[in-house]
Amino acid sequence: MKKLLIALVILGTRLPSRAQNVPVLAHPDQGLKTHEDSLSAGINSSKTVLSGYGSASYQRDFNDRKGAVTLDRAVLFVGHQFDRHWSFFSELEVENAKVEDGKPGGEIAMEQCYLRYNLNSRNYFVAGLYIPRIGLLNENHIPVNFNGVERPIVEQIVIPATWRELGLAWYGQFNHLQLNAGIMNGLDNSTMEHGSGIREGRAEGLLAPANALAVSASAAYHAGDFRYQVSAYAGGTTDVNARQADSLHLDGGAFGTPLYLGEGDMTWSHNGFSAKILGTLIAFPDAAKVNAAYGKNLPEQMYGWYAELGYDLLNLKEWKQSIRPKLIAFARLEMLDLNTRIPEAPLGLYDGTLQQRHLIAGFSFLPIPNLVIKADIRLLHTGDQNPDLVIHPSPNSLAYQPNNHFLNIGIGYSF
Amino acid sequence: MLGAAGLISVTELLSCAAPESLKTSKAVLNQHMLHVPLSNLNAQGLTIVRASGMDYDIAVRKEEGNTFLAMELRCTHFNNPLQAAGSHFHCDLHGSEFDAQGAVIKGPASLALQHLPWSISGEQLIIQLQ
Repeated sequence: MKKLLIALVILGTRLPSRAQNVPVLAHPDQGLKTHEDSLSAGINSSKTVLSGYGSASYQRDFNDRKGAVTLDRAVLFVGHQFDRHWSFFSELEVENAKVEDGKPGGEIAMEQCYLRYNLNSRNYFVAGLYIPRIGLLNENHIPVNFNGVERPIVEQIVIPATWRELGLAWYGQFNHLQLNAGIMNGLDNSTMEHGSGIREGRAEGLLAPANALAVSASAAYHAGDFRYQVSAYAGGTTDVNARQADSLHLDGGAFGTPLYLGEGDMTWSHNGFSAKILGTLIAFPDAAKVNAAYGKNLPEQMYGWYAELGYDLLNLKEWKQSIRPKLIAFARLEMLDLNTRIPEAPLGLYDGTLQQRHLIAGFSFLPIPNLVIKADIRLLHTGDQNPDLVIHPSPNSLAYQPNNHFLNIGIGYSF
Repeated sequence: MLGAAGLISVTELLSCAAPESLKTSKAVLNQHMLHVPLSNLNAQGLTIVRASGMDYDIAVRKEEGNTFLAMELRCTHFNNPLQAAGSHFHCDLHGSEFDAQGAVIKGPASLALQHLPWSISGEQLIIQLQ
């Protein structure tokens, strides 16, 4: 007992006293008093995490003189950390509230479901159903993080939003540079459709044909308040076997009948201002062969770009609380053409309605970072309709109107 | 929109200050204590500190009165490593952002970054990790 007391005294004299150094708890918030304090201090010790996001919206189509309201999506993230290196992440989405047999609109889908292995703090691998790093919205698509009730049109129909496939990817971080490369199943040219870009060619984890493969890569660089990114995708699109491909006069194999995508973007934010620019180009050089094989009208090239500027009108206001509301006024111009270049007739017919200009302007109000109320007006202008593509011309149907405008009101959340 | 922009003073618009200087520093991790030489720290801006065996980088900023702010660069949403991006920290997994003090400025994260206890011993800054 005496030896223990002596040991304790010696130990006590060797510990640095607070009088000798700057106090350990130098910041007033560092003293943790309650469980609530620990939550607000950012300590998340749970190994299984539930999170999610969702949005609902109203849209008025002024040409059709109709309104529609829907629960766009309710999404649940579930993640689990097995140990320092291994974790699991999933994203389950319900679109339009209900899936009813035979009725269009609703969808239930796994948007992501992958295992992750952290090599170290700056390098990790994922395997499973994942979203490749292409564009801005593909990965970061929660409603509190983009302006406008609708996701940018270019990043819905040129780069399909939440485009996910099954594969394997690596992510690395080197100071300000982030690199990424992945391999996944390719698109399917037999399911692509005129007017929908590459959207219908995706498998999204549903019994994905894996005869065709694709690779993607991206590089992103942070320089002060700027972030620059370039990404590329190249993949085969013929998912039938060699005999079938031969009979269809299509190039088979992992990278047969290839499709290429290139994208570049820049984002900036400072002092309440924010700006985004994005451009993308898709090339499908063998579109003529696919059109001949399946009687389709797919393009050889499509593009899209947009530019957005926003300002937080509450940025200069003094707030007593640490969580600052935001009222962002924004405007965005988008241009796209889903058939910039087409095969020569009769294997391709130009559709002017797929050449579109969208001007969106509105507000996003965020009372707290994870809640948003949005309203905007979208002005749409398209090219003229191609009479050769019209099955029931006017006066048997309403004349095509190249101009329209929409009122959108929406709410969104994330947690 | 243009009217709103017009109300902003030109000086405010032009106060796009030069990006904060960023430095990285190696450190030694010893039983949950990170030892960083004071001479390695950025006097004017942010220092990213990393050591072998650490899962996340630590951001260290020198503040007024010879005090420091040390934060683990771990996103409080899904524990993804954060990137220093100008005047804030960014998570590339879902877009969460934290300001220079670690407060959430963009979701889906809702918890602020943890401030780590620190002390000075001789010529070293000692940061206590959880």
